[in-house]
Amino acid sequence: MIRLRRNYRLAALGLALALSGVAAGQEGKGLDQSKKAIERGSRIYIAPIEGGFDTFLAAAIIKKQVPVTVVTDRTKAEYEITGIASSEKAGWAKMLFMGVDNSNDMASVKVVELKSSEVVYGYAVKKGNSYRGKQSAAEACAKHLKEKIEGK
Amino acid sequence: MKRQIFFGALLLFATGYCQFNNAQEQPAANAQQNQTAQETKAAPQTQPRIPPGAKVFVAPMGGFETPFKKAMADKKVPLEMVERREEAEYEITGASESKKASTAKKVILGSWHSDEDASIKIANLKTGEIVYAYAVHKQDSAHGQRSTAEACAKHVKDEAIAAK
Repeated sequence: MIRLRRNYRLAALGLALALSGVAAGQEGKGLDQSKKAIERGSRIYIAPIEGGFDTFLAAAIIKKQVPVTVVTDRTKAEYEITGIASSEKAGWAKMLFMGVDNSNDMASVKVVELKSSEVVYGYAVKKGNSYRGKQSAAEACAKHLKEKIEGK
Repeated sequence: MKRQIFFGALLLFATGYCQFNNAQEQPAANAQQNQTAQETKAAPQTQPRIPPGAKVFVAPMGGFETPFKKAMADKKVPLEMVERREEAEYEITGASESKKASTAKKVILGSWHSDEDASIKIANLKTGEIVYAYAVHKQDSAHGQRSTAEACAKHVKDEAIAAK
């Protein structure tokens, strides 16, 4: 009987920890396999990304003052950013228990050097409770791109 | 009975902890949600500015171009909008997304307003460079797309256009 109670308590503790993990829900992961640096002032082309995420990314690059020039013509660029993004509306359970209707946003981008076709940088982010939707994910990508360029 | 009370207390604790975490993540967010939670973000400009009176072409943005053009006119943005891309010096492209309030949002949160996302970028057609870009997210947008269009137009006027 005592063992059964202890199991219940452990299960409940696990549930509480899992819930708190969901609440924290923001994580990003950078991929930096290439030793090549992205030079400051490089011309970057952002390929169209589903849901207009490319436009959000361009805005984030300017907002975060990433030291690159974004161009609209791929032939004039030295690097290309491609990626995917998705956004998920808050469900009723999230609204009921957490009292928020912020969306879950995920984005993943990669930077390719067009000369060598080498992926020089990649970054993926998941915002479990994104207050500003796609804008938050785009700004996370831009911030980490800036860190890569500045070698931080 | 004791077990039920224990589980009830634990669930309350977990919910409270979740909300505490959420509040810590976005301290300003909750305060602003109470004021119909409208949020905009300015983009400091390091790029060259657009001269006043420059000819701009607003590209189709899935219907967002119409409220955006109207907002540009309402906010008296000193740019000349042209109908043909060939006549323009700059091009405005962008994307917008509107999320209507779900039944759950209406019932639980008591809000009928939609959540709006919009983003625009202005490209110099000669050089191909993006000279300005802006993104806005409006939670519980009072006027739907009109709110985000006006935010974009206001920031274009204030930040993208060079002083005379």
